[in-house]
Amino acid sequence: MTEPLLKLDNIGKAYGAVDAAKDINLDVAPGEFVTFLGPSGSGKTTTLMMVAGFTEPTAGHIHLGGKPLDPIPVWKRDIGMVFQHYALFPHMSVAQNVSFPLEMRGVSKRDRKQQVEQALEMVGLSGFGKRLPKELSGGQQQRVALARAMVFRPSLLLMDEPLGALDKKLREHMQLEIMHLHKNMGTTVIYVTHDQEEALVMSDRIAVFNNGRIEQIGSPRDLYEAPQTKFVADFIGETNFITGKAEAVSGQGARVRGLAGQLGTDLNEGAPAVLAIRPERLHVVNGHAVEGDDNSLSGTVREVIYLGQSRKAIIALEDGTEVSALEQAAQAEATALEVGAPAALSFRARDARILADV
Amino acid sequence: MFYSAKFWGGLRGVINALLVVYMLAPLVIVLVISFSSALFLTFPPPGLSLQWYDKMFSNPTWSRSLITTLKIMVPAAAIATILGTAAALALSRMQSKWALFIRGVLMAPLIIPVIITAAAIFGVFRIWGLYGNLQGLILAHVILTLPYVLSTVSANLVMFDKRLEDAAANCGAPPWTTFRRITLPLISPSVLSGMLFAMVISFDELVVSLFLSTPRVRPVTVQMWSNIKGDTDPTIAAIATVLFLFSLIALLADGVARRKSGRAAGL
Amino acid sequence: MTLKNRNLWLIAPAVTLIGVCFLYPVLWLLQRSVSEPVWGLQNYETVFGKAVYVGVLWNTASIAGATTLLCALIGFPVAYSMVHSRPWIRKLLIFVVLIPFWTSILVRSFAWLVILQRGGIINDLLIGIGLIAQPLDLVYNRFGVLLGMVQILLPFMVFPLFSVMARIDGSFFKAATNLGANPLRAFFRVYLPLTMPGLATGAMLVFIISLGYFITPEMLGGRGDTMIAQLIFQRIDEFGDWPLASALAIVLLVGTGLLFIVINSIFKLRGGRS
Repeated sequence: MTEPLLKLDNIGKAYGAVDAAKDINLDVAPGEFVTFLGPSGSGKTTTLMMVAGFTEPTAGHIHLGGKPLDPIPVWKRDIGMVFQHYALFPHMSVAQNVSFPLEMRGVSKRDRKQQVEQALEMVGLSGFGKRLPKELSGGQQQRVALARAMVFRPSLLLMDEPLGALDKKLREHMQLEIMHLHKNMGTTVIYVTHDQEEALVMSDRIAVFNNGRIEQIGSPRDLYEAPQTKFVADFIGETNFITGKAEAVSGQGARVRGLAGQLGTDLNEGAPAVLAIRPERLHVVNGHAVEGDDNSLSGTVREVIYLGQSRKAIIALEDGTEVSALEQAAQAEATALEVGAPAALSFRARDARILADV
Repeated sequence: MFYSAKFWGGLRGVINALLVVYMLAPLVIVLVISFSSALFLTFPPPGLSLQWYDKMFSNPTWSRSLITTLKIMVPAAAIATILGTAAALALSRMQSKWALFIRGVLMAPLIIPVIITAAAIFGVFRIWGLYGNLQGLILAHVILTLPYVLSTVSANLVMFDKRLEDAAANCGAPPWTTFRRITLPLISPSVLSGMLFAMVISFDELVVSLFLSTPRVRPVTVQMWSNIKGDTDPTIAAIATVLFLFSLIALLADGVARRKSGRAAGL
Repeated sequence: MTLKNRNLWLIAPAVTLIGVCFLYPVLWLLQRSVSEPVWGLQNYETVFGKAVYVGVLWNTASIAGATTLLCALIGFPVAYSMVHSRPWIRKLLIFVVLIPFWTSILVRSFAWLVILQRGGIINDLLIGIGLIAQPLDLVYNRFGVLLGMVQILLPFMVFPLFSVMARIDGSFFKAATNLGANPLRAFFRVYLPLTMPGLATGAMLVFIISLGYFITPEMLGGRGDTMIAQLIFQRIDEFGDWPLASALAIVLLVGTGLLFIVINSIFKLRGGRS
């Protein structure tokens, strides 16, 4: 990895006895798109606010471009930020809003005008300069906020749930636009969201926050395919959990209730553990063996849900644990299911992760 | 009859009309009498003239007292506006129990009966040599008007989005610039409104001024008071009209400021 | 410069000013009421012992009480009418009721004087049309005081009532009549209880504010209508009697304060239950 642009070194923020964020370690490479993902109150926004300078860390250090950031006040940090609900100045026109950071940096009037025009063009809002923020739609306001945060070419751009106020369709559209801007400008982005789908679509890497800590950092694929904690497996995508104790721990593998899987984390023999298996990796066999599946279990069909391109079956195992299996329409045709009928299931050991049960 | 909509509508009309007469008639009558050509407070006046306004401005007692009122009002309102706005800003950022206590203390002059404030201030200001001069009156008026500024500006700050200040800082604006460019323009309608409030309260103030003024330094309300207790001629009606018009103009100015802010700031 | 420091600098001037020029004087007043001529409660004994002063206290309470009652009786139909009028009429009425907030009490008390005094407009008119031979005493008595005070304090009753009434759903009344209550009973059993919070708030405001009134009773009242604020002014202005004036001021302060706390806590208790 090249020299990181942003380095969070064991930072934390404590309010009295409560840790809003703790032991946060993260290196962000230049040009990277990193997402902080987690439920509300998980510490992702606190961490972002520490980077921006609105919150002072009670522990650790932040370095930007190799220099310590701690003694630098907010207004000298040169970090762009898109706020939740945008925080556009209501008494200034769109152009004045975008021009504001340039003005603060003593850019001459003529250069300001030109750069503001460029920035507005970049977000597709040329000609909107004279309007007031409240005369724009939500998506347009979002773009103005983006232009204002990027117009002074900050090395780092922070985005705090920037799409939270938009409806689903506009959201998806803006996700793509932000990704394109990121690619074209080469800006490094830290993006905060609680929407896992958004995180998977946009990010180079995702840091999953929970209870003030980072549970796991990795590429979207890593997090989905190889979660290291039960929380990550549960928070990203849908997962079936089969609880028990870690058995037959050896090297990369172990067993839970006799079912084999890959070890997602270090576990001692006999420790409480879960086996996590994604619904699309769990196959309903009922006589049609699936090649390569080396684990099998059985139960009763509780519910069959028709989803058009796929079918979801909810199956109760013998101990009452409900698991769901997702199958493509073509496959599903081979195994007709009836509610109340017995069902046989199978999966590959390499698709299952064995994690600590906390 | 009880069930007829006409009856209830008519009753409402009567109530509304009586209310308007009760609230406005006295003021209207004073206004009309101030233009009277008669020498006494008769209504309706036999003819119209501006003689009482002429008398008011040419009589040194009245003109001096009007000037004294302005000399008290302008600095008092200015000081109250600055201190009250500053306090409102600080209190809006404080979350401790102290903030609530401090707010209560600053609002106290508005809440407790003004006669108590007047007596207390008079007792102490007399000892401090702040009796019978402008300084004492200005200070007392600042005390009385500051709560109005504080409450008006605070009400606006409740709706003020503090992330705008964060956004300005993030854009590179140091605190003072943020205040000047973002916070102040956005709360300025309420600051103006608070200042107008302070001016009206100071202009109309009687009780505290009654204690602190002497015949040499005497605001117009006190002068009016002592004349009402003596003999009354329509000059007092003219003074009363001036006082009333001042309030009315301030009220209208406030309305205009509010409407404008509603359009521009959209808070 | 930390945020905390900045707040301190912003708030220090106002707090200092109010502390030195307001809190200290009030404390000074309190001290004088118990320290002169000798330390003790003799001034309070005078206030509550002498018939003259007890009479003034009684005047104060009864004038405030009557003002409150009249404000409620007038304010209720006015607020109701405001809620149910067309928007432009409502706006006009609000403006009309709001004028007291903006015009000086002095001006309005003077206006009443012009209308009500012996040579005033009403007497002139009544004599002119031959209805009466001798002018009526309409002012310098209890009637004049109440007429003036109710006009000034009416908004404090009308606005709490208005905001409560505006939120009452018309269907309550319909439901009550549908269930067999005649309009009068529906009013007393359904509508009036629903407006109670507004009525109570308004009554509390009017009563407490009236207790400290000075200008109106001084201008429109007679000898028998002296209220506590006037007495305080007299004792200081005419006699320089600080000990007694201080004691009276403290009685007024504590009285209004206690009243406020008591009424407030009753409210909270009720609010908690419902």
